[in-house]
Amino acid sequence: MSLQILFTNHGTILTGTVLEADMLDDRSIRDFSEGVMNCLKKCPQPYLLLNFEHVRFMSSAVISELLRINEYCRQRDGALRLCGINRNIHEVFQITQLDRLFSVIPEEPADKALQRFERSLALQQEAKTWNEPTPRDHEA
Amino acid sequence: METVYRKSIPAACDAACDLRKEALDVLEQRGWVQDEEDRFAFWMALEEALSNAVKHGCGGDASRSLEVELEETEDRIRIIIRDFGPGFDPDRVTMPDCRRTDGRGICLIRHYMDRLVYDREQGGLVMERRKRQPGATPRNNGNSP
Repeated sequence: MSLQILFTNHGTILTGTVLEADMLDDRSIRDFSEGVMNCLKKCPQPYLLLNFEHVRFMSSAVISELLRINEYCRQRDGALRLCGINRNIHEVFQITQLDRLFSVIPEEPADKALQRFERSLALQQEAKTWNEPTPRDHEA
Repeated sequence: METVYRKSIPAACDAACDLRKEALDVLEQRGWVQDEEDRFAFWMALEEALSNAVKHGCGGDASRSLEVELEETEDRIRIIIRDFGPGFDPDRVTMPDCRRTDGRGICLIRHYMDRLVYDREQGGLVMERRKRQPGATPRNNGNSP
């Protein structure tokens, strides 16, 4: 059976929950990557939250795909965030220093991560309006 | 050491995946998997070593074969992955920059196993893990963050 990802839209943020993946291994990586990229291609500025709460194991090949997806989002001024990462997988992130790229809280539920993501985007937007001079600023 | 499992398969991802599951079952039946930490460690080591053997040792050529052997003593399990390829020195593999998309597998095996060498006499990668004493704190192989 192929790996399934359930995508849901939350305003500007797209959430992808990896389902029925007891073991995310070489066999399912192509399905994972294709499923995510097909969805991202529909978003000009992709903000993606990937939820791994059903995933127990993660190989370095999946990490490679996450890095490619992250780069794809970054190049389009979007962002990738991860949640539902169990403690064993979180340790893998620490060993491979991926915790420098991704702000991951072990076993963070998707709803909490989504709130965190929304807040960071709102702050980003607020900072942007602060930095961009309005026509009035020019007149002054 | 006593050989408790040996199997040869075509060097293909699907066959390697099935073999990994079978080897994990043997490890569990023989008492090497005491908790989720053990299971994760063996899963990671087998997944990364078999993936490397298929892709690099056998060059993705499914007409070639690879072999897995499990040997044990009372306190140590040895996993040998023979790909009959040119071999490499795992000690020379270092963790890549966090943005690089490859090269992490061997470093992860080194973290989860107590010993990792490429043994030319054995014709493959040799990984060993000691049995943990009940109640022992999680291991740290010097690779920890």
